Amino acid sequence: MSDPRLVEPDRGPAPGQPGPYDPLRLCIFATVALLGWVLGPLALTFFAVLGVTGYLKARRAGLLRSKCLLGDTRNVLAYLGLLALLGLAGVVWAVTSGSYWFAW
Amino acid sequence: MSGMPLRGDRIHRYVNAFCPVCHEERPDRPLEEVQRLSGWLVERDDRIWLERGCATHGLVRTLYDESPEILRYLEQWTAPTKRHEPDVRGNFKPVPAAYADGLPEMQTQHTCILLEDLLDHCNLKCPTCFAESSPARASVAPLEEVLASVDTRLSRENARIDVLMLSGGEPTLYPYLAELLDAVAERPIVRVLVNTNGLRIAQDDDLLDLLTRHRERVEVYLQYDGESAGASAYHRGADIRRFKDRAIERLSASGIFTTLTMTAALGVNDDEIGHVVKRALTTPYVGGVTIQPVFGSGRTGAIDPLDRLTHTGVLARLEQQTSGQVTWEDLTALPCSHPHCCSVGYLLRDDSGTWQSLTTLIGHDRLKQWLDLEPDLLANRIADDVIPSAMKDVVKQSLLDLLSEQSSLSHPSMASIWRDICTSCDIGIGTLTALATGSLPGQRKKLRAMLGERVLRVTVKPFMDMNTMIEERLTQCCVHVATVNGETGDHQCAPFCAVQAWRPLGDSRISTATGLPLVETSA
Repeated sequence: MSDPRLVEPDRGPAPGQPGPYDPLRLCIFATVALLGWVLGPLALTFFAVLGVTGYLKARRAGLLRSKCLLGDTRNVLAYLGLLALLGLAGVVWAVTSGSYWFAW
Repeated sequence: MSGMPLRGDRIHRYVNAFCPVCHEERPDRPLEEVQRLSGWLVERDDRIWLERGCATHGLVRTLYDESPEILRYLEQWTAPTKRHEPDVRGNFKPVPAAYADGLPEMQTQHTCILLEDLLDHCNLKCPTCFAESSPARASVAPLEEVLASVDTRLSRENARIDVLMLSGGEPTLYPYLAELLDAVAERPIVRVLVNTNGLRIAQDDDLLDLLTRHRERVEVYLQYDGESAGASAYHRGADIRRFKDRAIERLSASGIFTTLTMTAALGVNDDEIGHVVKRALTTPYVGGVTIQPVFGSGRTGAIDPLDRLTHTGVLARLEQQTSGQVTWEDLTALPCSHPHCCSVGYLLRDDSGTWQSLTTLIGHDRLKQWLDLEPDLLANRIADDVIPSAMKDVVKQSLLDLLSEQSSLSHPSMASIWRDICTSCDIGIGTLTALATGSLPGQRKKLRAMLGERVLRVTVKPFMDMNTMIEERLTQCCVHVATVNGETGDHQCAPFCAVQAWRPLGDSRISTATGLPLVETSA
């Protein structure tokens, strides 16, 4: 039987050793999908504009290449701008056609 | 990034300690091989824990004290310590190896109490005995060795020993007790305490006569563990309460100042502390109670190092068990020793029959001022003409005497101490008159009777075992056990808890180191 006086120091994970994997990104993906489903083109517009703003700031700060598959941040900006336009078009179409603009 | 999280506990103070697991694996290891470990006292879950890092066993955690609040209160009471003369000059070895050569240079307190183990022999084999005495152990220190030890200490204490404590074994079985008491009476030794189980006192008239003859100087420390048969059986191995009762009766009737010494263990008799205090309050000439939480050196029952009775635990239990008659705030730490080592309080019965504590009568703040614990506050109030400065000095010295390890009611200076203290507090005209006349010639007997009936000293004395041992308490210890140097044969001494804990030091106790078989010495 172990001696109850012998205790482990109270500490977090040792430096250099990763803790248990936290699949946070999977949660984020699911949430983005939910928002896309519920809000449709409005959500696409919002996130695309957010992305354009973020990448503009990053480029001004000197980020020329992104970890994104598109590589050059100018390509990323163009892509996000296109998404924003698509989203905006979707919103306009939903409002003018009088149809309920949610995805379903 | 949020950085590193908080530890989740609070360090109380940093200490040097020792590994109890290493100690248990090899209790007799040479002192030079004992490792001093970095550690701390830490507050967690409303308790104080002692944690130290051992190279072999890692982090070792044990319970140190039960109440952080009371421990912090005790730490307010400190006073300047006295110089000492090391037994061997230049002994700067680390603790505990340094104690092999007696008191080292780095000791910070002189000898308040010199404890002489007269013999290893005892008429009981108590399951709780830090000295591991028993009838089978026959070693008896020769009288000349004991006196040589006392004289050596006198030579290092500026020719005065405040308290000589006779212990063992059972000191009333010492074949030369009468000669020893006579020899001590011829020396500048203020008081003598006899640590006894009381069996012989309960039955032996000659012994009682001897103690009565020396009662102006001799006080009895009587083991008394409570009222229950269970406590007696657990600590003493049998129900010997009738002997205890008889011993108390006979000592009281003979006017011998007696302190009831209780060994208290969690779940055994920690609920009988109040009974012992009340018995002392109601028994004439029982002038003191000392409660000692059981510690793990020597022979003891199992002690859970994570859940045990501690110094502050005893203090916390006082109020409820005495129906509010004594509370922990009636005691202070003994200022001369380390504040964790002893707490003391005086209770006085006023003319209306009500017991009040010295701290209630004087007040904590004023008591601290008088003890010079708050020099700034004292300086700010130096113009305070309520207490003239000469009076302050007198009272401060009296209090330091009173709140020191050597004080007890048989101390010759008690009359003046009480007179000085009680002029400033209200314990009744009749009491004051009696105290004032007590110092006049012919009034000594009257004073003794009054002290015996109306004053009680309550102390809590937690000794350390390896689960609670910290170096700073050894360094400031003033209860020293007479030992003999293993290489030179010189007489010396070492802190009580160190001698009980480390086998090589225990073997250097005078009774073991110089002892002769009982049969030969008494022939």
